[in-house]
Amino acid sequence: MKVVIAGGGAVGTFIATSLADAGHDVTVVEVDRSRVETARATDETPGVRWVVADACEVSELARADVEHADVVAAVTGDDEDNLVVSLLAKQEFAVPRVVGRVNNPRNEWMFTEAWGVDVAVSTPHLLTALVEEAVSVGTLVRLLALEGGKAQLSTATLTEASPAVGQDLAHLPLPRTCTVVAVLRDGRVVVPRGDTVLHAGDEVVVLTTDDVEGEVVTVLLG
Amino acid sequence: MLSRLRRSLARSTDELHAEALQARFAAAGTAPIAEAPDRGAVRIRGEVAGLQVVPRAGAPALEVTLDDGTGRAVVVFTGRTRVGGLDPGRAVEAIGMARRAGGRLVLLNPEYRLLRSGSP
Repeated sequence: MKVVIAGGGAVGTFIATSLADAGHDVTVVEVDRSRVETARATDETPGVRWVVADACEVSELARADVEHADVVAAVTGDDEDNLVVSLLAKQEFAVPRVVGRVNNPRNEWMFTEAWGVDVAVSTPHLLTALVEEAVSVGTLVRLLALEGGKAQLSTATLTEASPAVGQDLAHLPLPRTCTVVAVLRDGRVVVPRGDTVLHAGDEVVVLTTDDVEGEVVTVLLG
Repeated sequence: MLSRLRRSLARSTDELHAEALQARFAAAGTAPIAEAPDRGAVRIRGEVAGLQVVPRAGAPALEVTLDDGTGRAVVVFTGRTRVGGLDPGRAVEAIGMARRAGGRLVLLNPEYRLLRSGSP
């Protein structure tokens, strides 16, 4: 897959490295020339192409070959820039998938299709979810909102008292619009099947629509 | 003469309309909508076949359907509920980046030009 990342800071560099490791064709667009020279000189991100350009300018963005990119990730530290890059990627280059990083959670409402963003990733919200996860065994923790908030990926850690403990997934009375996508047990991922029996301490990852969230909590956690 | 009459009688109004549109826009030197590539810069012409205001993630967007007889394209103007001059039946030229999404050819916020009615 061809990926263009706008913003060569800590976040952009990290994503670039892990995507390149996974075998993708990665280009980082960074406006700060000295940053790019440092990255090139120290071979900080092997296999990643660095381009000095202002991603907020169509002509400069074109130099990163965005017209052939499958994904553009706008991950600068500036929400305005991320929105501009997202809109340009969608409008001027018809990029199939645009990912936008939300720095200030107050701006998250703008990171939508109206600005060309297909997926918004909000670090503060993810952090909140992870902190919640750490402190909340026995509640449903939202990890990721999907489809503009109509569906969510959530996780619940089962306690001894959870009604789902000892049940197999086929007989778990979950609503139709909710499905178990993974069970994390003792640091391992158990691929859920109908005969998978849930244990206390299991972390159950579910994909669910928002309207049945209450039912899901009742079934899994009581 | 009679055979031509019979041929035109045997066809549906949709077919006749599509043919009339094709004849009108074919001479313009622009690409037929049916042949527009995915993710390519295009210059297309067509007649406004329909207008629709649809919410895109909560904000309104005007979707204008252009028909040139070979196919249809949807021109999206985000944040607008109407664009002056873009009325049903109006011939329009749109210049922008096209992509195929959900079986439709979509141009997002393209440059556009209203054409004088009667001209190709």
